[in-house]
Amino acid sequence: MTARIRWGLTVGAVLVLAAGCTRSDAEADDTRHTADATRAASTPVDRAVAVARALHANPAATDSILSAHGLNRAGFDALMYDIASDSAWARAYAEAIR
Amino acid sequence: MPWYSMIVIVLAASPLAQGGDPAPSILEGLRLPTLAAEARRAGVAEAGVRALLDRLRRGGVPADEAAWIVGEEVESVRTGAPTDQFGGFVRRQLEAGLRGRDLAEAIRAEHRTRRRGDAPGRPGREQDTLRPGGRRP
Repeated sequence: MTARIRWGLTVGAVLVLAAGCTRSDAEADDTRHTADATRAASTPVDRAVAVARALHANPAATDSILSAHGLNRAGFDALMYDIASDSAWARAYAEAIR
Repeated sequence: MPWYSMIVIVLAASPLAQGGDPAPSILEGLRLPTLAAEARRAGVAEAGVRALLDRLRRGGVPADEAAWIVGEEVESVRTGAPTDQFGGFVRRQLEAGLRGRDLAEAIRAEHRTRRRGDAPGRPGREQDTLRPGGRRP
């Protein structure tokens, strides 16, 4: 293999890595901005619906999605219980994520 | 180590290659409010739904397990269990200290018994609740 091909492959790999990092950072920023906006002016139902939609869209990113919405596992459980315990909230949530 | 092996290792560790775990328990937990709404729609009184949820919460049952339990109870009501007994068995098991897998197994066993009782020709719990003349209390 010539030095030119080797150099080309190395540069290609670096570009792929850079693209991955950039995309990841951009997605994280989007998630943070969306979450901050949701948290700033939302009811518990709005917050739970936003979390539910994000988790369904990207179930592999559970921890980062919860964290972006200011939740840990205990906070998530408490939010689900709060909404389930209020009939109007539970109905609104169920209709929103249907 | 050959130079191309290094590239493969680096690519495998890159963000594009990270899948992560799907966290099915969180997704199950998301169903808790919906299942509570279904219980109310199935005719369970507000007090009955809240009593079960309060007991589950006080018992430290995570949302995903609570969703499974509420779902089982809703299914039980849909197959003929009295709505005024919604969650009664679960509350008793929680008060007896059952949690996690033991609680789930007790609920499954109870529901199997109920279903067997519903089978034609076999007396069961559903028929035990009938008053003379075939009317429910």
